[in-house]
Amino acid sequence: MSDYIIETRNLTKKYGNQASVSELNIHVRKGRIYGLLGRNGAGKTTTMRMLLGLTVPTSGEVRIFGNPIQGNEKKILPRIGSLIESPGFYPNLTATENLKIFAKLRGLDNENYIKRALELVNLPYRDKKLFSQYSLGMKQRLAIALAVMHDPAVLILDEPINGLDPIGIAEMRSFIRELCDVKGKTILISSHILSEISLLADDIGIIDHGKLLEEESLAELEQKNRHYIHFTVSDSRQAAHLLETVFQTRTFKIRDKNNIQLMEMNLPVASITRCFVENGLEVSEAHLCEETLEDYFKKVTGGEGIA
Amino acid sequence: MLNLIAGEFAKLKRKKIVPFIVLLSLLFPLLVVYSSKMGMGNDTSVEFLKGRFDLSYTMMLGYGLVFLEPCLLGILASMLFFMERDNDTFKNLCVIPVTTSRLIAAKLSAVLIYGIFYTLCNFTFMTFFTWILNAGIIYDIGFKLAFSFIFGIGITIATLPVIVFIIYFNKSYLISTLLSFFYAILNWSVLSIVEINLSLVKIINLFPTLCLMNWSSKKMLDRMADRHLLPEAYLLFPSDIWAFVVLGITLVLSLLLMLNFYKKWTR
Ligand SMILES: Nc1ncnc2c1ncn2[C@@H]1O[C@H](COP(=O)(O)OP(=O)(O)OP(=O)(O)O)[C@@H](O)[C@H]1O
Ligand SMILES: [Mg+2]
Repeated sequence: MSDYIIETRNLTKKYGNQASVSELNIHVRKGRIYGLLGRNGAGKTTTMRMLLGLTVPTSGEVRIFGNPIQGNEKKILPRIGSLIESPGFYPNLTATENLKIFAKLRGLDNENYIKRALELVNLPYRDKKLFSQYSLGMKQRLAIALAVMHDPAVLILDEPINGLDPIGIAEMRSFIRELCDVKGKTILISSHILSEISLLADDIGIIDHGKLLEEESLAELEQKNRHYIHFTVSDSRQAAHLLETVFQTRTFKIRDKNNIQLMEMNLPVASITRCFVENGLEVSEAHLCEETLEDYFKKVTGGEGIA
Repeated sequence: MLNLIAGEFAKLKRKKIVPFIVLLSLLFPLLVVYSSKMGMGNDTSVEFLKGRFDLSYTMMLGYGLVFLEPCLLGILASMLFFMERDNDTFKNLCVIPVTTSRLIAAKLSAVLIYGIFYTLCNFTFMTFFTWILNAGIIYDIGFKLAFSFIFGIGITIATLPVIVFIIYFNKSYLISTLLSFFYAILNWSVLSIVEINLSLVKIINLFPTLCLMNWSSKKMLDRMADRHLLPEAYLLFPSDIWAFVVLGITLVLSLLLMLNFYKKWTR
């Protein structure tokens, strides 16, 4: 048995000739928040639907709790809470009535489940308001209440902060964080908002055009979020030689004939420049650069960027 | 399963269809009893008055239920079956997990319960109005009540073909309503064709609704106080086995098709 709670093996979904998800291998570890990041149409929702058995994969396999989901729905699904795309509820019923229908089907006879779930997302219990009269954010909250109502071990949330206001987003973030840290739940969330994922997720998978481009922990990613000093000099090879011999560092990258980037940040820029000049180099530029996560994502998704 | 069926009823809360069904089950019997009262004349013999009650009852079944109820149930079914599609709730049910076949079974059970409920309501109100308007002697209640119950089941089965079409076309409520009306009209027209040409009499009993109607007439006639029918009329009546087979085939075929179509568009 693997130590992954959710795992996909070459998961592929084709609609006609077009592959919405292709050869996807994601690995969600126990007790962690996994953020699936991708642009609109990248295949996040399709992936999540396949995880839940709502969509049948063209090929490949989904394993949850170490077992394939196909054929084990009865065993696996009750331990998962999910929110896929837009909230789906009956418009002619109130929030409580809506949850009651699903609670009964889940075998939760106690009204307290409903009450507690609504409390968690800050919606009133036994409110008279019908679902059709709810605002977008309220609908989203209700959908999250439905996802957590039966206290599942795993949560699969597709763009959970959709439609929430800034305070709501912050609340939702700490709520999800708490579910993971305090209750030890494993959570898979998707988003097209980079900052959201970087604030919340422990592990990140970047998906673009149905393919998984990167999968690593946030910590690893943040290392890629590097600062460096960029020099434009008359001869970058000589500059490199000077850095090696005088400053004893090899953490640099020669970009071209005139450009060199120094990764090590604790060397004094002033004395490096002086050293370059003293050795007959012309220094036309020296500045601090920062490659943010966003730049990084732009790079992995092929320059189109994620926002 | 019980929870699923209860859920189907809960989902209809605040929908206009429920009071509408009750209202209709009130109005139609009133109409029937009233027309039967109008044609009463001066005969006050017990036989005749019993006959009036029988007449009201058969009119209620023959016109009110055979043609109206498939319409009503069709509309109700389209509500139930489109509900998940229109509100995007199917995914929430799937992840519980609820299978398509169980969901269909629950929805059809709800339709069946409404079908029986509507039939019994009709009967109750018909009896009530007969008593209020003094339009006949009320008798043989037990049989009529039990028969209403069986009839309710039968008419629900006879409605299944419409539901198959409704699911197949998978369109708006309006189209489904039209389909339901079309079904009623189809039944009417088949019936009138046969009235013109009695040699077609065998065809008519292939239609589940009409077969049920004729079978019910036969059952009623066997029971009734006065029988003044032409011998040809008896040609119309299907045997018990025939009725059973026609409805049985309708049931099985409809269920298979429904499952097939519903699965197709929930994928
Ligand atoms: N039922 C379907 N039939 C045909 N194509 C589909 C279907 N569902 C999804 N697709 C296609 O699959 C691709 C991925 O869609 P998906 O909904 O998974 O994207 P997403 O990452 O969730 O995007 P978003 O951020 O907009 O929610 C899209 O190109 C979409 O057009
Ligand atoms: Mg999506």
